[in-house]
Amino acid sequence: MPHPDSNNLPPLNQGAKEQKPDKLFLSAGSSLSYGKLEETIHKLSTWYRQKGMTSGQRTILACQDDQISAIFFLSMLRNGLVPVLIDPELTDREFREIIEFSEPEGIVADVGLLKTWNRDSWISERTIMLPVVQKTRQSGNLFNKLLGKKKADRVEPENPDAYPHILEALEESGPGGVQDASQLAYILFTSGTTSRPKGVEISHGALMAHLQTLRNQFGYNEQTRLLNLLPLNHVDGMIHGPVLSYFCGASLFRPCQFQPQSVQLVWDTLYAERITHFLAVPTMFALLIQMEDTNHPPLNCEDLQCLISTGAGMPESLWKQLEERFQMPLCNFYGMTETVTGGLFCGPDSDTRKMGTVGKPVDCEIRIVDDSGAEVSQGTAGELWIRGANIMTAYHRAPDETQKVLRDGWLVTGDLAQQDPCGFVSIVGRKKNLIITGGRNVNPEEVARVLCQHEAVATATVVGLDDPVWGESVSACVVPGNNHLPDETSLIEFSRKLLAPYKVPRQILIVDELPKGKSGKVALQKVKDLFLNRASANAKVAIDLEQTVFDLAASSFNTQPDKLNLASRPENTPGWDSFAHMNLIMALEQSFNISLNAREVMGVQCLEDAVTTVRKLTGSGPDPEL
Amino acid sequence: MMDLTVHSLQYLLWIAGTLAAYWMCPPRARAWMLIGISALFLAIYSWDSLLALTGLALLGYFAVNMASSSSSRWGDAGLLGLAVIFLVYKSFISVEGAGIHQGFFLLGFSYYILRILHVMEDTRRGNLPQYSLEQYLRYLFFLPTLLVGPIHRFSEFLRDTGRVRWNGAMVSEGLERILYGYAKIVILANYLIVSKLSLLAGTPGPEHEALKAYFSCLLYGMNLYLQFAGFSDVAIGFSLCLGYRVMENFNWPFFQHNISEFWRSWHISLSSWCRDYIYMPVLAITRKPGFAAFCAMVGIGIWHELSLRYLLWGAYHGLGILVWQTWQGWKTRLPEIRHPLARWSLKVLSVLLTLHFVMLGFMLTKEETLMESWKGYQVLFSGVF
Repeated sequence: MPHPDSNNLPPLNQGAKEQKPDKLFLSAGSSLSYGKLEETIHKLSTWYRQKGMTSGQRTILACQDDQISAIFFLSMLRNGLVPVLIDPELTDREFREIIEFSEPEGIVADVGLLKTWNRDSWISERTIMLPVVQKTRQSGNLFNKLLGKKKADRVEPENPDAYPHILEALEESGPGGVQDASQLAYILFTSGTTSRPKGVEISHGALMAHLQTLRNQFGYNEQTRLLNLLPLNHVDGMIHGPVLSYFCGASLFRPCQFQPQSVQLVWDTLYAERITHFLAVPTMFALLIQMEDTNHPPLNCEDLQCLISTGAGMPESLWKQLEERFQMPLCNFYGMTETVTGGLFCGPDSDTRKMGTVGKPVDCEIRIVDDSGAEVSQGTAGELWIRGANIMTAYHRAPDETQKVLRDGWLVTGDLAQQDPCGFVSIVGRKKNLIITGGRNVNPEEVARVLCQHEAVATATVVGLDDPVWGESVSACVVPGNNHLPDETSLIEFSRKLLAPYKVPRQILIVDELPKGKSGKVALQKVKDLFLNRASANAKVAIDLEQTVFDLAASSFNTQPDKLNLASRPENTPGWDSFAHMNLIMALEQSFNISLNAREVMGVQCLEDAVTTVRKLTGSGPDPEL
Repeated sequence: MMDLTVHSLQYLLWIAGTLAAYWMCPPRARAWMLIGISALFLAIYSWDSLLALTGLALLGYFAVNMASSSSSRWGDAGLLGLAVIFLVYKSFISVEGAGIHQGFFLLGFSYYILRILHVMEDTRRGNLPQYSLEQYLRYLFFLPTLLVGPIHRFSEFLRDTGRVRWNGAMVSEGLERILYGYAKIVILANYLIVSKLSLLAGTPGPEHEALKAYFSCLLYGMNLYLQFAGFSDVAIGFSLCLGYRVMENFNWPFFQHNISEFWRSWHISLSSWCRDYIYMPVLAITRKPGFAAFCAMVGIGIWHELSLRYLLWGAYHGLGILVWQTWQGWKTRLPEIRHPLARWSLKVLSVLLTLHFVMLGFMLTKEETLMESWKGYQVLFSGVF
């Protein structure tokens, strides 16, 4: 076995090995230092050897815990094993599909997942299994409960062979290392243009090349304090998170899973942890801007050096809002799982930066071609092809699919792009049938296939509708069959059992017939129009109701309706004193013929509360999904 | 009990010592260190207050946590119990001239009891995020606001707890604010008003008794404002130095156009507490804004002191708000005044009217007894200016 530093690759731990043992590597609920990380990686190296796991063997990795996922991913990379990253939120059906297809030699997964899988039927007996026990809180005594004290992590006694319990008996030993640059580093399954998820194979050479590109492009170093909340089963989460931080000796912060309720925590982390680099998808940025607490002076994030957007197109309006809020240029970059994470970079340097574009190729070359494969002229839209050291090796066990997208070293992205005279590239459309929602890819055919399994559905088509927060929202148009009349809720519930949460349609429209074009194929634009018509009808109801509430509030507060918005509250609205508050309540009751109880009267703390209360009491309002 | 004022050298040393210890302490230990410093402070200056605060804090915490796990009766009983304890305490302490120097007095009691009641009620209403006992104690044992407020809110405190870190600009802002506070207390209040202007107010001859009473009333109000606004500045500045931005307590109260605006700019933390926990519940149940406002103002009066003079003072302001609310209804029937000069004159008049309404009210609390207040009013309205 060669020494990890003896091959032609820079060592993955080149940044990590320079750090002091007590330096923070990852803060995700609790803190993990570089010293503890190295110790654990060395112990796991011993475990892999004991189990006979050798370089090149595939091992499924499906864990909810960020620290555990990062530790295993890095330890496998350093031992030459090939982690196959899977979203632990996938359904049994999706897991089974991937595991049967990839035939892994090992599985490291949360104990809860392993228990729910009926593994006898679809997991080989030879597969090495390592259950992972989530860190749990000891029940503790009453005093500890009252103190809210975080207890020592413990392992359930019935799982002595589970991680992290196994570490206690293991000696440390050096990781096995990597043979050469072409050796597979990891496989990541992604929704592609086929209904079956595709396993993208990335070599160590591609990974290392891209890590160096990211480091140089964004100026990552051991002083970096990176905030990245993207899921670790996603390349932008894992590679542009723990792997890059480890490579550069940086500190990574993941204080929570990103959700609307955690927006304030993200702001607090940016400020309190002196974050220098912040990576997010446009959906996250939109929520951060929309839901920032405007009742207090904005936090000054003076340590921030780089604000980076990825995963989906960044609308120019949001781009401007972000630059205004953070008082710094936004960096945007384009890439795919097939390019490790990136390829074209817009910023931070002025040479590559132009608002509304994905910038220019860095450490790779591009072509923009027409249907015949010939390059188009400047300013003309064509399909984007990328070639460079960061391109994937192949799709796992899918030579036909690989052949379609890898042509003479060029990766066919399926995205439509155009280049301006200065070389800046803009993504203008999509040739492939794919929905990108919240930065994650969803294959519409897979969702449609699942819906068609419902007994009441004859046929279905799935489209992505523009969404100001999610980029696109998964929306299904369904034709009932067998004299059934399915309802939207039951279809969504049905989908939830078979699809990961982000793939579940956010709205379903039931129609007698799908709109078709002249060729007889479903006309996707007409399907989108059906949704838009419904949305505008609902929006009108919502706007009417809101406007009425604003009018009543304006009259109660003796102000103009255009000075009010949903965030208006007594602290920021002249005239909204406690006397006017009651006038508003009585006006609402009279106008909507409703009656608010004492709790509801006190619960109205802003105009959005008023609108919500009216909606609840009148049973009116728009479809909440729209 | 030892003598202590916010502008004493001792308190200044407490500020300096706390800041040094706080920022030198590892971040993980800061919460308990701050609780410890506040406990030590209370133990030195008012050990009975330390016992009271600890006991009441735990009582409040247990009551709402028991309520959330079983029934709301524990919460109701806890709230009621604390309200009764507050009233009993207020009736127990010496009614007139109670102070740190005299008899039994719980340091900061009137402030922390309202904070405990606020957390209990907001926990019951579901308005607070999940919090630990450590965070709860850190909020209640927060030295900057322990003595004289502001009665800041727990949700904002929790928000700031999540973002505490050394921030030179914030500390500098805090120190500047402390300086403003001391300037208000020492230069404007103690020197200018108490030492100089009070002497000046006594210079008119005995034939100008009404004028002297008028000046005396004005100076009392000004002194009260400057002293209390100064204390609040010190508390706000001290908090800023620790990384917390607590709510403002005053906003130019003597330049407001009506009594409603005055109460939104005078002792804001108390008036907003009474708005949320007295006015709104009474209003939501009775649907009578006037009655609810009256109850809130009486509540404010009782909070200061459980005595007839403060009860009357609260009722006086409650009546003022009732009249103002009625006037708001009548005003809409009058022709609109468009001339800029007339509008400006009316504004000046309304400010003067509000100011004098407030100042006249101080006659009730300025004197030791109601009889003396009555005499004061007699002199003011029947004497010679």
